[in-house]
Amino acid sequence: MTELGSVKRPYLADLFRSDGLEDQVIGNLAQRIGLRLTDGDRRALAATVRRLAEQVRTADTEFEHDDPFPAYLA
Amino acid sequence: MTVLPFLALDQIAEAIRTKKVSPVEVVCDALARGRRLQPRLNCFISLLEEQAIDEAQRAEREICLGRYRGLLHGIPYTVKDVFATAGVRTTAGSRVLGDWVPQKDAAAVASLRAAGAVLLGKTNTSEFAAGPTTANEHYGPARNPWDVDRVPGGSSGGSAAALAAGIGAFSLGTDTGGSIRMPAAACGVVGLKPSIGSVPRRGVVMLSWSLDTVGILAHSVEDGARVLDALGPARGVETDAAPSPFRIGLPIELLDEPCDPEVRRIFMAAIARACERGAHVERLSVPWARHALPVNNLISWFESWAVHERIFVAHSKSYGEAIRRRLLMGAAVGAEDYRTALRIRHGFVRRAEDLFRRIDVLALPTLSVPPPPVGAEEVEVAGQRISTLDALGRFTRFASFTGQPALSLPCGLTGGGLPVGLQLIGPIGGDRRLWQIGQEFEAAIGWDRPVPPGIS
Repeated sequence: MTELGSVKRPYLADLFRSDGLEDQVIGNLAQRIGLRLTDGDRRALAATVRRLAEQVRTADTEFEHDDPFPAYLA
Repeated sequence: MTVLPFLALDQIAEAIRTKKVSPVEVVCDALARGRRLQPRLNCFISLLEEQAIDEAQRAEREICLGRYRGLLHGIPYTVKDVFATAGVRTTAGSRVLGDWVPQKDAAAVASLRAAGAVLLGKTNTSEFAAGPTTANEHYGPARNPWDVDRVPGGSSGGSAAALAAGIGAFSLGTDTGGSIRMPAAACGVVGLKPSIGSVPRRGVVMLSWSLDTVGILAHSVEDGARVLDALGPARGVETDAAPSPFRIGLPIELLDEPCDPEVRRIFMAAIARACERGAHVERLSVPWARHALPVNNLISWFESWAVHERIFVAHSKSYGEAIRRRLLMGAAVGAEDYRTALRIRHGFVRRAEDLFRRIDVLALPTLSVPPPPVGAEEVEVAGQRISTLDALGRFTRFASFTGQPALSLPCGLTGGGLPVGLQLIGPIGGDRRLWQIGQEFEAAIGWDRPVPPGIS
C-alpha cells in the first residue's frame, strides 16, 4: 500500500507484484481446482517461479534500456 | 516404380505430374509405413487412412483430367495435432480437447488442402504444445526413430519422428520456444521457423500469443521453403543467383554455456566446412543473448496461463501433470515481471537488428545435448547435471524471443548414432536469404539423408 495524501491505496505496481505471494497464489489455485498438492510441491513450484522472476529482474538490470525521455528530465 | 519416401519433394511431384506414379500409390505407401511404425514410434494421435485414400483418389482423378494443381498435388504430409482440421478430431495432445472435431481447417491446413496435398494424420505433441520432449501423458510418449529409447524432441516430436521414418514428405508444426527446431535436430530432419507472423496462425490451438509461430519440418531446406511458399508470401528478397559469401556470427557467451563436447565438435566441424566454401566467421560478444532463455520462459508461462485460465479452472482434472504444474507456475508470475520481460524483449530486438548489420546468420547448435532418454528429467552436460528442459531449449530461445526466422538442419551423427542439429538464425524478414544460406550449409555438410537404423 502506498500513502497518497490521507488515503491509502494500492498502486498498480503493488497489485501486480507477486513477490512472496507465489506460494499463496499456487496454494489457493490448487485448492480452488481441487488439486492435492503437498507443501513440498507447492514450495518447489513457488521457488521455481521466484527463481525465474529473479533471472528476469537481473537481466533487466544488465540491460541498458534506451531512456525514453530527454536527459534534462532525469 | 518403387515409391521412395525419402525422395526430394520436387522428385515425387515430378513423378506424380508425369503420371509415373499415382498419388494413391504414394499415399498408400506412406500409410503402410505409418501403420507399421506407429507401435514403435507412437508418432500419431490419429492416422487418417480412409480420408487420406479418398483425397489421394481425388488428386489422381484431377491429375488424369489434366487439372494438376502444382508441386504439392497428391503429396502426403502430416500435421501436428494442434492445427484444427475440419471433420477430424483435434486434441492438442490433451484430454481436454479429446473429442473436439472442428468444423473448419486452420488457415495453414486450408492452404495445403487447396494446393492438393494429402493429409495422412495428426501427429503426437506435448500436451498443448508445451514441452520439448513429446512425453505425452494421455497418448503416450513419441519416440525417436534413431533410438526408440530416446525422445524425439518436442513439442512437434510426432511430426519429426514420422518424417524421419519416411512417413509423409513434410509436416506442419508450431514453434514457441524451439518446438520445430528441437525435434528436427533430435530426429535428423530440417525444421524451418519463419519470421513471426509470416504464416497465419488462425485455427492453431494457442500456447503463447506473442511467441507461437507456424513452420515446417522437411527433409531439406529447399523442400521446407517450397512448402512455406504455399502457406503465404515469404518474406525477404529472392535471388536466383547463389548467395554471395555469407558472414556467420558465433555468439561467444552462448557457446560458453554447458554443451555436450561431441555436439560442440560436430557443430564446429560444420562451421569449418562452410568456411572452406567461402563463408566468413566472426566471434561476437553477445552477453545479453543468454537472457533469452529465462525471459522467453517467463513470457510463455504467463501467456499460457492467461490462455488457459478459464478452461483450466473448469477442467483441471483433464490436464496432465506436466502442463498442470506449468500453468500453476504461470498463474504465479507477476504482471510486473511480465512487463519487465516485454521491455527486455523490445531492447533485445533492437540489439539483434544491430547485430545483423554485421552478419548474415547467427549459428548455434540446435540442442546442447544429443536427444535424452525418454523420461529423463535431468541430463549430464559437460560434467554438470542440468534439467532436460533447459538442456534442450538453451539455444533455441533467442530466435523465439525476437521473432526472427531460424532453421535447424542435420550436421552429423554422434558416435552413438544420434543426430546433431545446426541452427541458423537470420534477421527479421530475411527468411529467403536464410533459407538460401541453409542450402549452402547443406551442400557444405553433405548430409545424405541417412535412414535411421531399423527403419526400412
